[in-house]
Amino acid sequence: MSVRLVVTYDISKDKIRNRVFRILEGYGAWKQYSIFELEITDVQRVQMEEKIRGVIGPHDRVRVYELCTRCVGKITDLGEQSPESLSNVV
Amino acid sequence: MAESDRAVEGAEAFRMVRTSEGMFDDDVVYVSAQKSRVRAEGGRITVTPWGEKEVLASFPLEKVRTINVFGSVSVSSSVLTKCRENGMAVNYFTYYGRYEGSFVPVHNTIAEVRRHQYGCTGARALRIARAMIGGKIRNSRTLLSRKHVSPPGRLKELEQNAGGARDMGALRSMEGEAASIYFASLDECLIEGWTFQKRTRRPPQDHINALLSLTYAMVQNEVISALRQYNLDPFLGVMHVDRHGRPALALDLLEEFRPIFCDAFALRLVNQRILTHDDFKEDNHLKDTSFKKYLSQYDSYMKEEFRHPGFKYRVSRRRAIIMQAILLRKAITGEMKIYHPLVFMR
Repeated sequence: MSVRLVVTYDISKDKIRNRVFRILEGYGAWKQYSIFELEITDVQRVQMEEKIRGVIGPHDRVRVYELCTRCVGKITDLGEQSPESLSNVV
Repeated sequence: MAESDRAVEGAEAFRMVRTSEGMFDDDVVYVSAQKSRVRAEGGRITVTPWGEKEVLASFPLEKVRTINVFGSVSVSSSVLTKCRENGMAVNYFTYYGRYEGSFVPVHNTIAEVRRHQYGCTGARALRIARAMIGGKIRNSRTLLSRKHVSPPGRLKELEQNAGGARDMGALRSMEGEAASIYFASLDECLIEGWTFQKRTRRPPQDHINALLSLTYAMVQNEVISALRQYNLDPFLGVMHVDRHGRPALALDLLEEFRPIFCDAFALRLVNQRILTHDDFKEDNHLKDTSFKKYLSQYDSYMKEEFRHPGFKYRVSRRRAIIMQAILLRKAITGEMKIYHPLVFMR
């Protein structure tokens, strides 16, 4: 069973921000500056959150929003559209 | 410069090389782009042309379970390191899709299962093999009747006889007879412009045989990886004799899938005109662009769901293969008395 998550972060130090970025790109799609969308299993979610906890400092903020199936269907793009899916054939 | 300005500048530089991405909801990646490199960078698996920086595609590392590479694609050792950490496997194929080998991380080999498997001979092996061949013949009949070709009556007899075969030799000869009867009817399942004379291999002598061989190789690899996932040794068979380099157990388990998954897929490509004779080169191999088309068709075919005839819930074909590997393991270790092949009655 997988869940769709939106993860946003506010991190001032480049080094830490890059680390968080590296962790998140391992699980899902980079959508905008400081915003990722992930479609992952509960187990992967625990792993991901644990990894992030391990790198962030006291003043950093990372927020995880969970989207229900209905919400996922209602995502709207204004302006340039974000690609829906990524093909697994190169 | 203020901290926040630098952050924006860094992000700006980053933006140059990367654009917003789509979701990746798969665990298998196919790389058939020639002269490309597969690398692990940051949290991603990236594919780039040799000697260039521009990224063809990148995938989230934690979600990829299997990487299938075709032909001259180099896989860096950084990827293999990640494989070891994440239990990911890399399968190598030739440019034409012939399976060459795999990189499988060392973890999880269970001695107990292997011990049972090595001891699975004689009556127990025969019982499993009978079920497999019976299932294969049943599925051949089902495929023919789905294509509105009435299956010869002899097939049904052979299916019933297979269940009571005295020994492996008798079972093999029944299997052989059933296969030749079945293939003789396969021609009638094809649309105009295509004919199936007879099954030829090494090398396949016409387009349809080439397509069958390619598909068998593709599914065989799924079977091998399913067996590996459950710690069975794909090279030690119950019916097929083990010979150097032959994945005998995978060939055993492949039997029931041949008509209903492999042949059905090849027929679909031809009959729905997804591939035509123009897609082939002189040597009966697919052209580059056609091979890519084949791969994406194959992948979505394996992901298609159907209602499982035994378990009554929806599964993908790929998942069904894994489930058969689990059932086979139960039969081999004696956890279940008999092997239940995947059989479609209609």
